[in-house]
Amino acid sequence: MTLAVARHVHAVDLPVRGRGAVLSRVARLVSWPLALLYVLVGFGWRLLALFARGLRYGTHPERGLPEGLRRLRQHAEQGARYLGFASDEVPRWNGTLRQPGESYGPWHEARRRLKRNRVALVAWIGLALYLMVGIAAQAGWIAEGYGQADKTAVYKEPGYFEGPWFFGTDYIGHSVGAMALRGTAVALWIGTFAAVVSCLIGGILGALAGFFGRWVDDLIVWFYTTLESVPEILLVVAAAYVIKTNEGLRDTYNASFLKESLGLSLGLFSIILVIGLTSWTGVCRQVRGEFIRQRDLDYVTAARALGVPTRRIIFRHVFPNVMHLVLISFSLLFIGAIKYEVVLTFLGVGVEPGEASWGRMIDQAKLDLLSEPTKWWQLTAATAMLFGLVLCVNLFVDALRDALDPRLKD
Amino acid sequence: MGFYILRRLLHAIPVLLGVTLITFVLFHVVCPNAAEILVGTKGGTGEEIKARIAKESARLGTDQPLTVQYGRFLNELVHWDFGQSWRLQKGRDVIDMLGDGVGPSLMLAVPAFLIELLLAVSLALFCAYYRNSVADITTVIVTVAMMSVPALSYILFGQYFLAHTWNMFPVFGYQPGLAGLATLALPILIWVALALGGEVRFYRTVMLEEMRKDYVRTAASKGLSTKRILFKHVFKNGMIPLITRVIVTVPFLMLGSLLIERFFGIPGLGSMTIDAVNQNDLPVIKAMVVISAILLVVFNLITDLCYALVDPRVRLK
Repeated sequence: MTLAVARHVHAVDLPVRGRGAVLSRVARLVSWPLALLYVLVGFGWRLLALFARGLRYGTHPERGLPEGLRRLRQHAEQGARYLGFASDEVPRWNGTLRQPGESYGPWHEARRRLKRNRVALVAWIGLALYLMVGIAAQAGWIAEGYGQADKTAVYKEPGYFEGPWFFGTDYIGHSVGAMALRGTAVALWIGTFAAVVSCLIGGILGALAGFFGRWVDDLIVWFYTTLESVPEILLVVAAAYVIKTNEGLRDTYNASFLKESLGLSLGLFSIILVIGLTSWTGVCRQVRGEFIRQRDLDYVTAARALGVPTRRIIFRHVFPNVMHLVLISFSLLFIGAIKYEVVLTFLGVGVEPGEASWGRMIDQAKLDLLSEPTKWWQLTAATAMLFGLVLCVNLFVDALRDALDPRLKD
Repeated sequence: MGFYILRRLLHAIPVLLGVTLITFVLFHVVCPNAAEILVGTKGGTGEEIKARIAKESARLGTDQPLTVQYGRFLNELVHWDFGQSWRLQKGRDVIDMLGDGVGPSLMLAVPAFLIELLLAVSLALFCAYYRNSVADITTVIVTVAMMSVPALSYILFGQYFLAHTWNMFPVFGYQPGLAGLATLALPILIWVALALGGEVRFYRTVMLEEMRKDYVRTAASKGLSTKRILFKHVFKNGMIPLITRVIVTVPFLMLGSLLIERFFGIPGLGSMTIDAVNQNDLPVIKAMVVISAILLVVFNLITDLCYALVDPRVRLK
């Protein structure tokens, strides 16, 4: 027990000097929502595991809950520091820190390169700001009245800094500013959900195809080649149509906690799901290719010789080595889904009346432009918000890709 | 090589079968009985409509079991028979309609794609030459920023401000032939702005990847200038991914772009797809899905063959 505790030394803050000092500090300052998310997700997940373990081991002095909880706190704190660019040490699930003489690992190296990239830091700050807005809008702290139409204030111009119309109003008196802010939360949900779904499907199928080869590979490759050959837009429109017109599904969804907790309509939720279900082929292809390369390497053979179960080899040994591909695909799918929502809303699937999303705002704006004088603000607000988010992710992905590419080391 | 081609051809068969299966299932789920849509709900009493639906079902074969319907679908496909349009141009053969749509789509897509390709490759070479300089980073950021604006916003802004308010372009319309280029200028501009970022990024990576190879170091140690290495050696090797990418893009050029065609009134396949989706013109959608899948499969095959032709290592795998 004492030994275990002695190893938990707090990470020492790395002094930030040189050209990127100010940026780093700002990045650290605004990264708290990301850190918060990390702690919530990581903490929650780990807590469950710990309780399961605590039940199993009872009150064993070293493996029981109290020690585990302490490690968990260490881990959460370190995770927050790591995401906030306050420390370069990668947090580990068991709460320990890197010991002197231990290797830094590829993620650490990548991160050091990332931190030197000023474009990446700016993009990171932008992302964190968007996340703050998203969290605040989802929690209802800001943009509360986005769905309320005020018939007395139709097409107010921006610069009308009274009441909720801080960026003008639309054709039935919705506040454009509030809708744009609420749209941030919606866009973050769209991107995250769609990307998570496709990364899960693509990652798992790609891993299986690449690792097992033979008929498993043939089957999965056939499946994604086929899916890729069907025009995606028609697939999405058809599937969204089916989900939307299914009465039973609608009732189930409206009664479920999803509707309550997310505040997304079934139409929107269905396109998120459908985008996720159709866009996993790219991830699958990449993961498969990397798995084929990795499966014959020595460490896999060694693990197999030691009798490690196949499932464990795939997900614990090999998967961390392809994680960087998944991470990059995740970011690209994230923006892909957000941009796709605009097109789908234009086609009339997805967002339902009373819902605020950037796609809907842009779609509505085509009516605004027809009238004289020009009602430019709705289009501008939605486009600017979407542009900022997509640009930040794009630039960050570029930097991330460079940082993760070991060939750039020289 | 002959064996390789044969194997690749055999690979294409299950994919095509899979596509037809997906299409069939999808359409069956969206619209279990096409006769109901075709007959509609107006014109006569309930009994009459029911009788008409039954008659129409018998004609279309939708009262048969699913396996029979699928067989029928495959049979029509093999005979290259996609039926007649229901709504868009009622009674006209779908295949003729699609044939008419390809021209306008290509009129927009081909010049746009060529301009985009030319710009992207030159910018990529520029970036590779001045890599990691301010010029390189700025170019990448600007093109990526251009890519990050949603297409719909480009179209609305362009149509309203550039064309309508400032009269720089015609707002709308399409004419076949060279006279149409004036109306196509704005759509082409938007297309290039949308696509440039991704392309520049891709070709820049390709060039940089090539530049890290051993032969470049050999050439440099031989005393060749950077310019010569870049334009003579790296560029030539970079042509392989370039050609592959171009061939893969061809079917998408033929299928057209949904939004741009729609907003600028270009009667291509993209706007036809949107109209068909909006008006539930199932035969048109079905034909679009199947034909585009065939195009994709065929061009993928051509890409692979070209690749195998250029790089003998691929054939042996």
